[in-house]
Amino acid sequence: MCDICEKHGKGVKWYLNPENFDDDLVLKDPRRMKVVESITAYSLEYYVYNSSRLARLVNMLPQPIRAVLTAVANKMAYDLHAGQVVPLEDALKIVEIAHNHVVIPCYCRRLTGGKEELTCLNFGLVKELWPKYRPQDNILELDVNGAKELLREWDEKGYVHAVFWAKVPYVIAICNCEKRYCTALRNRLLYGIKNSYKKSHYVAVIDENLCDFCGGSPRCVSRCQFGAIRVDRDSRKVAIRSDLCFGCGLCRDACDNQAIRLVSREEAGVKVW
Amino acid sequence: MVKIKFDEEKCLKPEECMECIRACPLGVLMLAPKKKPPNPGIPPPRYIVYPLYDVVCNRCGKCLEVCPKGALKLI
Repeated sequence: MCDICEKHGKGVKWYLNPENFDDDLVLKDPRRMKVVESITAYSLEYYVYNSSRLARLVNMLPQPIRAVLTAVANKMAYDLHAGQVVPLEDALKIVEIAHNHVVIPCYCRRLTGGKEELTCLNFGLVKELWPKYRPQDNILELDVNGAKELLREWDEKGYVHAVFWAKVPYVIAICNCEKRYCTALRNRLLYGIKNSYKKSHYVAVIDENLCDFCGGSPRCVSRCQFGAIRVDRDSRKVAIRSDLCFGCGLCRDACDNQAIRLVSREEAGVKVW
Repeated sequence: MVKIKFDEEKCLKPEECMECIRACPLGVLMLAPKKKPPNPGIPPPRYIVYPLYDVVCNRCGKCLEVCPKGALKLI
């Protein structure tokens, strides 16, 4: 169980607890309302830029001040807008609990030179706030089944799903992204802000007996955005490094032999979050 | 570390160009609003190019090659 579940899970994973989808969490908490407003009414561009810039500037400082401020930034991420990786099956459960499904353009891709893509699946108050404050944006309102269909499509394309909070534990969105464009992930990988893109509750494990090496070019390898899958050409073996694995499940979904499965971090004994 | 300098006076509308940001093979550059918009619902009035992930810059120089205004410098 991760630290957010311990506080807000009520026996299940935090993002599967229906209480965390209640819009009253925002309407009755001015601090959370401020976060939701800063990513909808004001400027998501500015929000993404400002938080990432802070991460960059902290990273330029000498130790030990860098470590101290990185810890502060990690704490701040819980009070702001960040997320945790989820495999497809959990993402599908999330959209079943959520209400007001709406897809908005991905601002990370827009700001970092990607193709304009509707891949940011939002819930709750966003459906009302986005068209009000950003009428220029192309958005798509969906029902539960429509949202599920899109999630499966993104999974096929190799986009990692991550459930995002607007001040823990309010569930506001599922981000579907690629490493090249994802500022939340890159702020973790390059600047050490772990809580901007938490690892999922799972890790992928491979059964070597079931893996047939896909005739020479294993499909799972190119699906991994985290460089966690290593190939040994001599022994024709694929290995997954659990310390690098984010538990997104994309490699598993690409394996025709069901050689890869996701197990919980506890079961696997992997404590790296 | 590589310093990427962006000349705000030479590049006035990076949001309409995006050439350097797209050209970077390592995704170092980002389009950034210069200031927070004063009121809700208003898009940022002015953008700049910000070297957000310059820790991975390897000085390949592609951004300089594509910039039509010569607004970028590597130091």
